[in-house]
Amino acid sequence: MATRDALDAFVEELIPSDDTPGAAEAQTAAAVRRVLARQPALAQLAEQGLRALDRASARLAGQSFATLGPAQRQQLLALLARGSPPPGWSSADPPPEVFWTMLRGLALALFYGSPLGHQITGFPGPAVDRGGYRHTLVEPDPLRDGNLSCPTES
Amino acid sequence: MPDRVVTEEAPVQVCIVGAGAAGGLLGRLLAEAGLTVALIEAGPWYANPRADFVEDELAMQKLWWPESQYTVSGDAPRGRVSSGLGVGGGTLVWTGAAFRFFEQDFRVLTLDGQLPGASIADWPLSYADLAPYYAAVEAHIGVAGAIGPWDPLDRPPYPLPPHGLHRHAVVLRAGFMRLGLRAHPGPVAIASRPLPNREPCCYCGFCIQGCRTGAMYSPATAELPWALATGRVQLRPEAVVLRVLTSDDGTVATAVEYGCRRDGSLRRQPAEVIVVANNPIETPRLLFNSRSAAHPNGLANSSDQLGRHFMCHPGAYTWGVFDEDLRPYEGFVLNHLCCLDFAQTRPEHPFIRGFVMETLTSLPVGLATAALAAYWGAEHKALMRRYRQIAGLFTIGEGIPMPTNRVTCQSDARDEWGMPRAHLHYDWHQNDVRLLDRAFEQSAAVLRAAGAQRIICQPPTQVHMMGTARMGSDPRTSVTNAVGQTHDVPNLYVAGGALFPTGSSVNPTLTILALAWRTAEHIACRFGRTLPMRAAPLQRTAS
Repeated sequence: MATRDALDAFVEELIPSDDTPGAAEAQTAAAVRRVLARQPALAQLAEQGLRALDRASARLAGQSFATLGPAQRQQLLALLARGSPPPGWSSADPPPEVFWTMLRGLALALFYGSPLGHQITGFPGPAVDRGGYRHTLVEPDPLRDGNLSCPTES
Repeated sequence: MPDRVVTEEAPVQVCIVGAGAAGGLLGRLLAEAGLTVALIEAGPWYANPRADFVEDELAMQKLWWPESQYTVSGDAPRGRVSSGLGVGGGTLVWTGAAFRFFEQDFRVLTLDGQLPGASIADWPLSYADLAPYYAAVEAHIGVAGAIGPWDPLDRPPYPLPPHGLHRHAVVLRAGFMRLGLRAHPGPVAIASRPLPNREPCCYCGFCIQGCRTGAMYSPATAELPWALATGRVQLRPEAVVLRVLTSDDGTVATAVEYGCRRDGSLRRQPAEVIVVANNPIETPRLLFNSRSAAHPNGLANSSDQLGRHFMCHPGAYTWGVFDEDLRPYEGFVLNHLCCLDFAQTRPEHPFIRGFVMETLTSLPVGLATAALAAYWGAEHKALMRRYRQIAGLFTIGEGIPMPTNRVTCQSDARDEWGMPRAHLHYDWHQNDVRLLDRAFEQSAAVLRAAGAQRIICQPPTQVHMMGTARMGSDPRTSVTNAVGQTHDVPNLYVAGGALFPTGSSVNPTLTILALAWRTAEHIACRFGRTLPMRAAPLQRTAS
């Protein structure tokens, strides 16, 4: 993948490291590559979009996306997020919102669906085989004690 | 169409295209009425949900209808289509919300009049006509709920008691109450008691991605085992119907031609009655692709109404970030409580029709990708670290049908079988935009009143595809009559959300099922049969 560095930078910009691990520590870019290897249509979309992102970076600052500073990276991502074509983005490139939604969604899903992501969100993970959460109902019968009183007629 | 060998299957009395909510129910009802049925479904059959589904949001993306199958234009947003791929269709990825439409929802044109550029139409049937079918479906699928302030006085009790509340619902309820709004347990087709082949809900939080316990109604678990037990149903999963064939003069539908994904073969299924029960993009696509000399504009499209009047529920999903731990992964994701106070037209609103608010939670991936769609980087991560403090409202309104919002077929884009793909054009109506503004404003107010420190409005979206083969009394302005029978071809029927002339402000699935029950009754009657199931259906067990 000629756009390996761009993908690494894209994903790390989406999920930065702070006092908790980010995409770099979670190796989210590698996970993205593994998924794309099984899905040729998505891989092509990612490849074309990342090439266009590198082209846009060159137009903006004469550098690849991976070597841009944080402010310029954010500037380009903001355009993608709005669905606005960055500089140099041509009609032959994927629609910005399509590329952004796919690659952003895949990276976030892989990160926040992982055990590391669960640690960061405090999500306890699958529950069916642990019996679910019937025991944490705070009002087992919602009709008791006038809980459903109707304060006004609308 | 390539010139390939087509294998002829043994004829059946009824062939149903699509085993979703409507098709699955129809298949079972007709088989139990004694008819032979072929049920053809594009996706697989997940027959053992506990083993076939996993609690992994990314892995279960495969249950969604692939959006790569069609292209979209227009200024309306491109939120995910609410349809599934597999036996169960949209019910593989639904939330279980099981509302009846309001009495007014069936006569919007009469009550509110026409809007510029819109194609609002009254339904060819009334709430009173559909009420017995609503009752039958509620009993059949097991709707849990309690009669609420918006229910008609004469409605029967819900067949199952309402579910209890977890912390997030109690917190959100306080917001409604503080504003003087009413909040009540939303009706859900989620078992609050054990049902045949379905466990009661264990409140695991993994909805809209295949219910592992079967608590949430799906034809895959609640209909197919019984349908197959009759010995009269042939289920053909992973089979894509390519076109509906007719007699030379076009007056009789004779068969469907389909491709098997498993072996690439082409097959033809003759039938006396054919029901197209696809989603509202695929139903018109199939009928357009079935055009012939007798039906040059597409099958059942002499009115030029096929594909038109596409509509969704505009979505104003709003999230609150609270100071306390709400444990949003507990329970089911939607409709623990609902507020229908704004569901109908109000004179003080600058729009007609209304919106509803249903309590909403999320799992982390859904929050990260959809709810926080406008964020990334440090701010996104900071919000995700507060995942357990976030709960929201699924606020949806009645989208206005327009003739220019339509599904067409593309001549230059083909699927794996060489059939033209669909194109959807979808613009907001000005009424939709005004409704969304008010819906966001009201939702944010409720969340603030509940104690939210920060409000996050998800980018406007849409949910629940409807329209495109609307029912009506006049063959010049509609595709089918009030039982889903096409005006042009009397043994060809449509089922599903495509039939809706208008879409109400509440979730559509219960109405899809009630209409399907009516259609099943009509088809059974054609064959001199009656439907066997009207009394205490929850007591039945698989034979």
